[in-house]
Amino acid sequence: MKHRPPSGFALVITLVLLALLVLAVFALSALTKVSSETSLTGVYQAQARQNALLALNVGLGELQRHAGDDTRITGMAGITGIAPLASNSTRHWCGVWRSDGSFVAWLASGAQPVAAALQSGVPAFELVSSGSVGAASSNSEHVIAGKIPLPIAETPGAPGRVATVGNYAYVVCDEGIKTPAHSPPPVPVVPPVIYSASTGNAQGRLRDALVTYAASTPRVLSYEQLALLPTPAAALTPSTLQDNFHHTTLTSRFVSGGQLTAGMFNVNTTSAIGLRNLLQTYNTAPGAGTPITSAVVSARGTTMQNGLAAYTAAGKRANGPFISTAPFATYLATLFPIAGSPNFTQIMTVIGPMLTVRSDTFRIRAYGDALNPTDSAKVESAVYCEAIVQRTPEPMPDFGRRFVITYFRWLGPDDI
Amino acid sequence: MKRPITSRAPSPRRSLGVGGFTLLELLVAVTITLILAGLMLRVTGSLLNFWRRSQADHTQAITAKQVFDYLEQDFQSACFRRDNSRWLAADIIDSPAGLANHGWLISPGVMKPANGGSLSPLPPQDANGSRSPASARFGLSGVWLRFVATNVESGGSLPAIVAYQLARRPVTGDPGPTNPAPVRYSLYRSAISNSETFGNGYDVTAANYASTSNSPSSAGSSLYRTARNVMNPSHANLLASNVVDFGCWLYVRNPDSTLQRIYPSAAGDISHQAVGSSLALDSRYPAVVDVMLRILTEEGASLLDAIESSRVPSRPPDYSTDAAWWWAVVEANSRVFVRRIEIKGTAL
Repeated sequence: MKHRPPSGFALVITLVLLALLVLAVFALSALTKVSSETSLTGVYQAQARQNALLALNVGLGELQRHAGDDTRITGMAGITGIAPLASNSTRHWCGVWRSDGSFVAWLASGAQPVAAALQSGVPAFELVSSGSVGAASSNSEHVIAGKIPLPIAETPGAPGRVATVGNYAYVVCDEGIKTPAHSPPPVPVVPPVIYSASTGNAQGRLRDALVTYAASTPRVLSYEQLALLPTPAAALTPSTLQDNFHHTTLTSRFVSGGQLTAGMFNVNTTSAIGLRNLLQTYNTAPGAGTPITSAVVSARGTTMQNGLAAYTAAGKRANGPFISTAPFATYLATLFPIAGSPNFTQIMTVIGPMLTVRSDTFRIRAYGDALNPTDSAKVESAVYCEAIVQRTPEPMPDFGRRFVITYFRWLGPDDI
Repeated sequence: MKRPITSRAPSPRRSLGVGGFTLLELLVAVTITLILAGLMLRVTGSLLNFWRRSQADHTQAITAKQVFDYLEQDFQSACFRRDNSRWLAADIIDSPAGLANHGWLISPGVMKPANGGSLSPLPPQDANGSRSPASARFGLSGVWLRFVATNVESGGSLPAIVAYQLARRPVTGDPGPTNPAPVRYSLYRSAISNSETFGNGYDVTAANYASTSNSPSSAGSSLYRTARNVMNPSHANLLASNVVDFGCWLYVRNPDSTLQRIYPSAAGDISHQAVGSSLALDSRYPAVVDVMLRILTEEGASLLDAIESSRVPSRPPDYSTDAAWWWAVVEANSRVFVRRIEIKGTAL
């Protein structure tokens, strides 16, 4: 029988070459996998940023739609009777009303049509939190907005399955109800000032820094940058600015007589600190008569905080805004009667020109995230941004006057 | 009587089981093996080439994305005021002398062509009558770009001056002729500290932000957010290696929302300094920016280093000048990336 030994040479060579080929293919696939994962991370980041910008633009659009017209009134939700409490996280929402005092809208994502609360089923999400105001407390509340899902009709690999690929949220804060730290001239009366009974609390420290370093404040570009006063040794700690966040802004401007004017104050607020600052501004204004004592400023500020919402008069419904400054004057009359000194007439004569019932400067906080399409509980990337927007004298057809972004910044989670 | 037919007796060697191949068998086997090996080698070689190219493409794309993401965040949050400060500056420095104190290694031999050899910020129109920053060349330095932005990594996202610029440097140490480290063209991003920005002001062209030394601070130094980093970035400010050209086109929005290019406004325009209050096009603050990057492969960067350090003996005869040679090598080993970015804020 014919017998030939097996010949393995060619087989070995072939196997070696095949092994090399497999190795090369394996390495290539590994590289492809790494690059695709890297790309995916980038895609999630970009998607989250886009969602945050979407939220910002929705907020800006709503602001333009509701508050662009000259006749609209704005104010904080506290004016509708929400008390200063740590748990009242919608107290600083911005509301818009018509000139007759009827309500228009809350400028926060997921808000109910009338009540200052989120719609049922919309998850709450803090957009002003510890990084902005410290721990939540009375008059230093956190602010929430509704987290709105972004669904897609088709999921890759599963046609017809609706999936949530991201969320967005925004909230608009009214900056005109806050006391400006810097009011460039011309101003109608005097630049508003900050009141404090002591130099040791947050208002006192901020007031003293603004007075001492007044020459540096024109260089400040944002409220948070006040922490850099003075240079090089910082006088204001982040907690000082956090405690003043709801009551002080860098600069608020108002459209008045076809131009922008600083140094005004929207009275549709229930911030005791802001209202005390208003009374203290009377004391510093030229032409002021008998000054309001420090104790009275403090006490009346608290009284106004607790009583403004419920006050009713012509031009002021209970739990509604002042539709003009006239009913505010009548309210002042209850605190500073004509027989007293100073009386409400004297006060209004001095500070009346700086009062208004609408704001034109707003802060929009926005959030966007990107979710894993196959597991919507998994947040792949989350992004925050903020813009200071200003209503300008420039008309915008059908929408009143044009809003523009004057300051934009991306925020880290610690800044919120 | 006939002798029975019997099969041929096996040879003694075969019967012992030690029989070898015939010469013909061996030749056929070797030929087949060689053909197979050749084919496999070719396939493997192609795969490895493809892998290398993929890796280079991937590296370039990731680098471009990283740079663009930074630029996008910075430009989106750029801010200015209507005053007489220069809140944004984009300058091309096209002479070696002009790069003194920028931390550049200027070599006497072949390097990126200067004095017009790399300068075409506004290239000629193409066949369709359009221009693109992708085909532009931004001089020896690339665009030295600086502006005020709020950068999220600063802690509080406070305003800070941000500067982008190219530098040709050894990968470590000072940019001196005796430094033996490989030389690379890299893009640096310096974000000056919030307090120094606030203290020194927002005029990005101010003398406060100049450097008086050509030595950059080391990668381990804490001096990477100082005012001088605007002109002379620290090694720690390295953003991307192997970037040989970097530039931008700036636009403003017309009332009808169309874009109008304000920089470069003409072929020889090498500078745009935006004054906050200016309404003149040659000094106006932009609303939209096109950013261009040209990124070398690592292989191309090594080749360029070899050429510039004279390890490649002489210029091939195909090229009439060193500048033509340099750009031919760069164009063969690089990719160009462009991204359009909108500046969100404006000033009142």
